[in-house]
Amino acid sequence: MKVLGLDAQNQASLLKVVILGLIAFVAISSRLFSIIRFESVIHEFDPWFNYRATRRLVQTNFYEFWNWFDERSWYPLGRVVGGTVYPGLMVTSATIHNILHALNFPVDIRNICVLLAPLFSAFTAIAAFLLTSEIKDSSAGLLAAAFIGVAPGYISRSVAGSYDNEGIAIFLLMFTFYLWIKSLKEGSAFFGGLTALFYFYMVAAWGGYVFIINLIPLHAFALILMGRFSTRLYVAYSSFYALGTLMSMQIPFVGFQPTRTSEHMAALGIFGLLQIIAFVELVRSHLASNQFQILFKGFIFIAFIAMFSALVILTFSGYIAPWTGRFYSLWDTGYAKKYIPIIASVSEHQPTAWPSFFFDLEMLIFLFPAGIYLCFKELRDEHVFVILYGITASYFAGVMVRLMLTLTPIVCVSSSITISSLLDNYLDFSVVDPETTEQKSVTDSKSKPQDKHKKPGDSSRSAATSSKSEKKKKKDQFFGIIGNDSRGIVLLNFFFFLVIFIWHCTWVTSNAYSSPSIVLASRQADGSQYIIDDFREAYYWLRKNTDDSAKIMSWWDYGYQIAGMADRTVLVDNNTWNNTHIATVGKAMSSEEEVAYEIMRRHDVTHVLVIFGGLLGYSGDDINKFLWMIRIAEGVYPDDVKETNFFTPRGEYRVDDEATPTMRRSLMYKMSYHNYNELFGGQGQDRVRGAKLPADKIKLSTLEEAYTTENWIVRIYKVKDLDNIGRNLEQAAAFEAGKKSRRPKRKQSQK
Amino acid sequence: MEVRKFFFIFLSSFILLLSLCYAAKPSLESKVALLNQASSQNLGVVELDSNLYDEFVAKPRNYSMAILLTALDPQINCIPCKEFDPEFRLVARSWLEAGNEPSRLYFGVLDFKNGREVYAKLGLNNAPTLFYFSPTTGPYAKDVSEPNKYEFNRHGFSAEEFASYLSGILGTQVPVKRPLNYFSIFITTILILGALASIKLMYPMMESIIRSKNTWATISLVVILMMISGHMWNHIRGPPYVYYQNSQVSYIAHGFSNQFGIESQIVAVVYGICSFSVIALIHLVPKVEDKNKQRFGTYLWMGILFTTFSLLFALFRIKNPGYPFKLFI
Repeated sequence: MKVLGLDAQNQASLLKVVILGLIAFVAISSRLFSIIRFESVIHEFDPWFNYRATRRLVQTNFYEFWNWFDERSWYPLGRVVGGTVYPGLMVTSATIHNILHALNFPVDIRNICVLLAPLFSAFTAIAAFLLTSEIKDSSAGLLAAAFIGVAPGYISRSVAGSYDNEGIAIFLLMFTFYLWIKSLKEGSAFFGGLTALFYFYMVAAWGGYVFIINLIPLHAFALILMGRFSTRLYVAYSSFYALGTLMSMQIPFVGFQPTRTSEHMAALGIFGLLQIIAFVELVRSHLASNQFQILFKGFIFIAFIAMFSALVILTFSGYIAPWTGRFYSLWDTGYAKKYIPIIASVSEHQPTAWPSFFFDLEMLIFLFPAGIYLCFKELRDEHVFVILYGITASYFAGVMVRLMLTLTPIVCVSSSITISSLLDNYLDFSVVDPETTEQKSVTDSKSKPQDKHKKPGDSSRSAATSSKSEKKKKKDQFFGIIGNDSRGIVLLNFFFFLVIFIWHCTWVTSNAYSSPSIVLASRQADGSQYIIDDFREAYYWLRKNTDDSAKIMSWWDYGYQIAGMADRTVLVDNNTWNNTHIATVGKAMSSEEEVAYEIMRRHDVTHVLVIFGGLLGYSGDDINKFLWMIRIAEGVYPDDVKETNFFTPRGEYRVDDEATPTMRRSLMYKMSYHNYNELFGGQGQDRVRGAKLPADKIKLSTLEEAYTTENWIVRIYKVKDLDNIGRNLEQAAAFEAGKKSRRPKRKQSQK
Repeated sequence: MEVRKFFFIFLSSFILLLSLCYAAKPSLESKVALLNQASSQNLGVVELDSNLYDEFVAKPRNYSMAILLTALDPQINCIPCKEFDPEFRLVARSWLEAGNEPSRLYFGVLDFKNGREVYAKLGLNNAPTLFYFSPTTGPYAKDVSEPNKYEFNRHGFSAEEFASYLSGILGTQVPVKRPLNYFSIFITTILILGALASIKLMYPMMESIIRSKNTWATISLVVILMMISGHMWNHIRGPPYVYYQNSQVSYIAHGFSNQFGIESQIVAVVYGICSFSVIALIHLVPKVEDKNKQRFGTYLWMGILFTTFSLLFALFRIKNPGYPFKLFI
């Protein structure tokens, strides 16, 4: 039957292309909620740095960018950006920008940055299609593409405006894995080289490349243990590892890490092991005798042990760096909390409670284990890969919320295998009802479904060939679905499940993952939307009302935003490379005014910026983050800052009348609540912590309020200069207060 | 007469007071001698009561002292106290045996039953509490009025952590020498040898298990199910298994990013049932030859899947009350 002059195969290809196009369209458009609701802005924190760097790359050239020393962050240290950044993201969008401009499309770089992640999500869908097609077939591939297109676990990191490394990295992850499977299946050095090339792109784009460089060796190792060493594996892995490592070392941020750190040692070890095994296999094939087999196995085993012990010795003698804190904390889960509070303080580094899994993956979460089971049923080389990926990624996702991102692709692939196997069985109308066609010969009806179902074949075929157990043959025989009502009920239910899945994904995307977080939205009493734009208001004020050389002190969360939007120098930012510097800021925030003033003078701070949510009930404010500031400061200055002093004797963290004296004297407390009581004409009400403030007035002598935004979310203070006649600022402020109020009694007490 | 009597009382009470003051302030040398004697007799630990506590803590001090306020009385049932006590004594003993100048650091223990007054005076209502008193005179004197409190939450309960805390304050290495437990080493060796031997003996049997696909499938699926139902959260945060309040047991914690131990197990079982019914629909049902039996199987497994999935939705709505979707229930 010909449609549009195409035969059946071409029709299928055309359909696939059309379906993939539609999936790409859905993937992009479901990520546009934030643009439609708000506007085309860069979101959150890290994207602001990426955006700023991209702008710089577009304005200058690549070599300028490579050598960029950013003197406007980490004042007075500065930051070598070229050597401490994964440039893949910036280079990608700058390339797109240049191509479009060469074609006379004058698109603003900001819009490219905003829309980059949705664009790459479409590519991810295609990569998932290719990968799953290699593992099962193209119908499973289409399902996988559809799942990953809308799965909230991936959308959470790739909505329009979320211009972050992960946006392109998940595509690269999937595509590298696809190429790896392809090269392994075909034993092709060409595909191995392509794998290495995309691995290089991944290294340039995201620190998560470590997952690839450990998972592929793990896969190779598992195959060796299963006795599945083959020349295909040898060619694929050797070409991938040699080229990939050489290329990855071209990224300055990575440099010599592939030879010097433990994260990369597994890959190197497996590379060596493969060479030895290949050599042994070669020798054996020429000897044509099995006598040496034990000897060879022993040789491989000893070589493995020797390599492992060499690694241990080199690690202890310091030639190879042990696992870095961020990766180490994935294994020893208590490690970060104790030794690196700055890692533990980030909310996306917290472990994952079960609702998050369901929230991000809905029904895929229980189709995923079923898919893993189906992979075990077949267990070809690529299925081993899916299984290993599934186990490792689910562990990582359990330890860190953020790594839900790496779990989502494999969940989509695995559950598409499940759904596709189900549909294969229940949509196979060639199965004949044995009751109605009883006149047909028994052998005919038996062989027919067997031909149809080659996939569960492995076991059934072997059972069929070995005719010694008739019972087992009977048990493994595959009849297909006979009754049409059974088909109907299952198909209808799963159709319904899929519809709910889409609803769920849309709901989650729209409600949870589409907020730019620099612009907040709330509903007014009449239901209309109320936009809270305090952050940009404050940053714009800084840009327009402070000197270009002004130094802004704030907690590190806001560093990138201040640099990006206000274009002013900051002390610390989200790069968090220098813990001591962050602790110094933490100390300034948590100490008394006099101590803080000295720190601020030493760092030339002109303005201090705090986030205060008490008026509006915005819970992500600095008072709630304050404990982490204290903890980080205490880690470096244990004599000056003590966490216990901020807790009441009953161990509570309070801001009201029962707040500890240290708390009430701290700079952060004073800056947050300064003049707050006056707004209420009595005692202020903190809506985040549900507390009534102490009635006494908060006096600031070393700072003066410079600006407070409409909803009080951002408060900016100016650091006072030294007093003209050499008094300390407290005395000066007291004197000023006395003069202003013109109370004779006060004047006397001044004397 | 009256006046004289009054004067006498006044005088005598004054003398009494004076002598008391004098008695309450023994000389530094006698204090150190007492501490040295007590600690060397008792493996480096000075057992205190309320009076001794006040005496040793009183200024001036030319020695450092770490004092553990604990409550080992079985009635109080203070589990962390019991956990920390041997570790504290281990550090004290290691310090004594290391042969440091003893007055650099003494280790004192004050149990609640001997020191109610101290607990009351300091307003302490939890144990164990550990104070470090730095010297006020002598070469190591520090100008600190408040004792340093050891943060159990931050540093932890192990001897090594406590010792590294002390090393940090003192500026010299505080060692920890765990005595070799020969018995446990012996037992471990025996067990390892036994295990190796049994592996060797049972290898033919084990081999079929190790090489079996089903073993690995089971292990993988159990691991995955545990991970995706929030086991790592339990492992890291250590929530209660169930929560008792007013003689009512609650199994489900409130809040989206919070859970009880049993909750994650319930969820793992729910996921497991859902997964298994899907597998049954794919693999078991098509293998049934009889039409009606197959029909029954299809309806059964579909029903189980549908019900369990509805249950999952219901569970999720408890965690996230704003969630708009539901199935069946």
